[in-house]
Amino acid sequence: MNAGVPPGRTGTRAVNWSAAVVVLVLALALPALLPAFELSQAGSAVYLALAVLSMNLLTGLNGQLSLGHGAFVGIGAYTVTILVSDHGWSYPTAFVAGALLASAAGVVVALPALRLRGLYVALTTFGIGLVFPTLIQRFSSWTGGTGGKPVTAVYVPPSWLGLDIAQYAYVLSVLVLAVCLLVVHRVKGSRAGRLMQAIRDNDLVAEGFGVVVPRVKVATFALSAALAGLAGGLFALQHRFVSPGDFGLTMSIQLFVGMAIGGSVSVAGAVLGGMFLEYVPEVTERVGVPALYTPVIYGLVLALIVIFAPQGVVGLWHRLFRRRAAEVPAEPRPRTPELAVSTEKGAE
Amino acid sequence: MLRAISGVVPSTAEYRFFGVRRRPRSPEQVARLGVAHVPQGRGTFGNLTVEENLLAGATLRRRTPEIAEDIENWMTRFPALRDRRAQPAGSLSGGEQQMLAIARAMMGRPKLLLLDEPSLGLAPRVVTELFDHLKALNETLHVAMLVVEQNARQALRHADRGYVLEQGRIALHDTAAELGGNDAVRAAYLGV
Amino acid sequence: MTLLIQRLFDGLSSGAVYAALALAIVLVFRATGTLNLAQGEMAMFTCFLAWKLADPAHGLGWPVVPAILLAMAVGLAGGAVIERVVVRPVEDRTDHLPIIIVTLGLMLAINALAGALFTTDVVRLPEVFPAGALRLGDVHLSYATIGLLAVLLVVSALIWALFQRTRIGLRMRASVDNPDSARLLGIRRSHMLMLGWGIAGALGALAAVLVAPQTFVHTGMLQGVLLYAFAAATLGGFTSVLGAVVGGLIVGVLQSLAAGYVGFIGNDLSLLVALVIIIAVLMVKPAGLFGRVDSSRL
Repeated sequence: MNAGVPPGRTGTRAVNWSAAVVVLVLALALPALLPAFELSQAGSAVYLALAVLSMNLLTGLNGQLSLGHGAFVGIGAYTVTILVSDHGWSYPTAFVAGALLASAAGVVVALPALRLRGLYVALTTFGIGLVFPTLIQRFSSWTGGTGGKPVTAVYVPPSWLGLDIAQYAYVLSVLVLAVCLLVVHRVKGSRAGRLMQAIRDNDLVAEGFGVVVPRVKVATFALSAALAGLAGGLFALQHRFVSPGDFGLTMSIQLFVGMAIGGSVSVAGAVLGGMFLEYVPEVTERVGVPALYTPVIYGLVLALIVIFAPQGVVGLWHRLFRRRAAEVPAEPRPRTPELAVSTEKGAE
Repeated sequence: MLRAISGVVPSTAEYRFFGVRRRPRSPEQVARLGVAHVPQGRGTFGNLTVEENLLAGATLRRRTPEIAEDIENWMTRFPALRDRRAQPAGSLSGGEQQMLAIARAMMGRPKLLLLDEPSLGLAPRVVTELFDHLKALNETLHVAMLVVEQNARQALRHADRGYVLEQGRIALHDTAAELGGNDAVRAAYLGV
Repeated sequence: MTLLIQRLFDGLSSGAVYAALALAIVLVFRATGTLNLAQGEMAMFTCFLAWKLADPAHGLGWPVVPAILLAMAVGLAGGAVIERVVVRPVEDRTDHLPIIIVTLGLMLAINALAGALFTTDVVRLPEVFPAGALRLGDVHLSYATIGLLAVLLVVSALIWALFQRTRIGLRMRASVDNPDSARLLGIRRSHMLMLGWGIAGALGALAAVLVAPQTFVHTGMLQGVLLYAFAAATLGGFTSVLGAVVGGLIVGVLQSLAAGYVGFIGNDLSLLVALVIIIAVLMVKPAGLFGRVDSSRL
């Protein structure tokens, strides 16, 4: 877990590129190795990883909170579904549209959030995550309402690849994830990334150094929402069916858990987070815990991480949202007593 | 240091209180030993009324009529408190809040009163009044007091004994009268 | 006109439920300085408990009022235990965010636990109030509505009396006002925290049980209500008990009127109304109607 990033570090560790390439090749080879169901699971892990990546960018790198990120995933998913099925758009353009729309929604959320303190941003984004499915239901003429909406146009793979539809969807997902991981990694090490992290660590100080804080924060939110929208597009591509319940509070919280698991500052950690989200229910069921209890595990994991996590994750949060003004430590250190020794009278 | 005694700050110290060794771990425990601490800055409950502040001071006591009687007595001793009994404590002046904080601490009928920089932020005339009150309480109610003060002159004028601390160690201790006459002390702390 | 009055009463009826849950939220905020996102799920769990006790077919077949009271007692104990075990380790005077994350995890866990331990189906709680209604012209004022408002009134009065007229209430207020000073006086902060969360748990149980006739009993029964309750607490001011009650009633009425008169919103987008209220209040007057502006909290 790359969670142990000391405060202030921009945290671009030397990437083991050869390992990354190996992982990528392996991932791309999976269609040849796995039967359909297992492959679809792997595919889910991929879009979940992308969604978790979007959270890492927003919270881990920039220190903003979003408890309703499922909404952005949903926007991407539904946009792709509707454009591809009802309006005959091609998948690539629909993906872009989905990302842009999600990004625009991100800006809409980010602007008021600039003025609110952490606790209230949490509340507001929580509300957004809760309300999003009802919006889907309300506009059922477009979205298919509660019953969901099938993706009726299929992304047909070119025949020379020798892949079937599901395998093609998987491979595309892996490629999209890989590109996004690269992009976020580059951003992290760039000047923009350093600005983001400076704001995360102490936005007042950053402002003092001339950083236009609102601009960076909104831009980060927009990028994060775009990534989430892409993840939603992948969801639609793989599952070929979307319904409001998929993008409600449960997903939002799951993404939070995934971020916490993988280490919010880490880019590669997103992959870990995605895998955790997809495979833990699987594993626990094998061990005898019914699927019904999976959220209990998520909840416990989240609580445990917050309580016991290595300084990295929790320390990160402490720095994110602590009151800027006087950095008052939680446990006051014992003072050396002054008594009648006033400082200006030459105490020895 | 006072905060270490009352357990607000973690410490490994142990001390003897009335001949018994103690090692309390929390302010609540210390309070139960009969030690009342008036913190630096008064620490009154700003949103509670004056009367409620006094009532809160009696948390550890049970006999309601006695508590009510004590409240009346303190109001008599500090008339300003009676005038403002139903007002929120935050609306009182610095000196009045200090009286309130002391009265509140005394409501618990402690054996030892710890006062942390009571003169901080108070006008000189008020400080004199304050220390007169403290001395009077000390004599009439027989409650021991340990006062941490930067205002050495006032403190030494009223105290029995004094302890000078430097870097956490007791550098000097003597009767207040002797300390007041000690030239080094006078030079360093009394500006003479 | 009668429709307006009818909608008003319906709004007050749901508002009473929001107020009860908002009271719980406010209590926790005052005690701990943060928001308990799991308040609804905790309440839902205790409601299921009441169902398990009272249901003749699947449960013990108790009369409904004792079942509710026992559920409230469990809510009290459960709230205290959760504070001590789950929240306390993360308590930090200056930073209230980790607790909210923990409550997020709690929300998830308790929701799943309820489904696993009780049922994922939708069930019913036996009615508390008699059926039927008072007729004022064309307006129906159901006995249930009257009962709800009466219960809210009584509970609010009890909470007020608890805080303003009892020793323990004084201690709780002191502990919130200046935790360090309170400890120096011997007030056990630990007990105050557990009590705050405990009472909140009991109030939540009551809210859940009161709303059960409308929403029925199922694992998702309070998810929407929670947001309305947060809207109520935001509107009323997170530090004010009166604000929670007034806020709850206002939110209930607003929701009812919006659903009735603004066709665009209808019933589907009512939740959006809650969200809009939250955002609007936070942007314009974060302290709400009755709250105190406490710069360390806002």
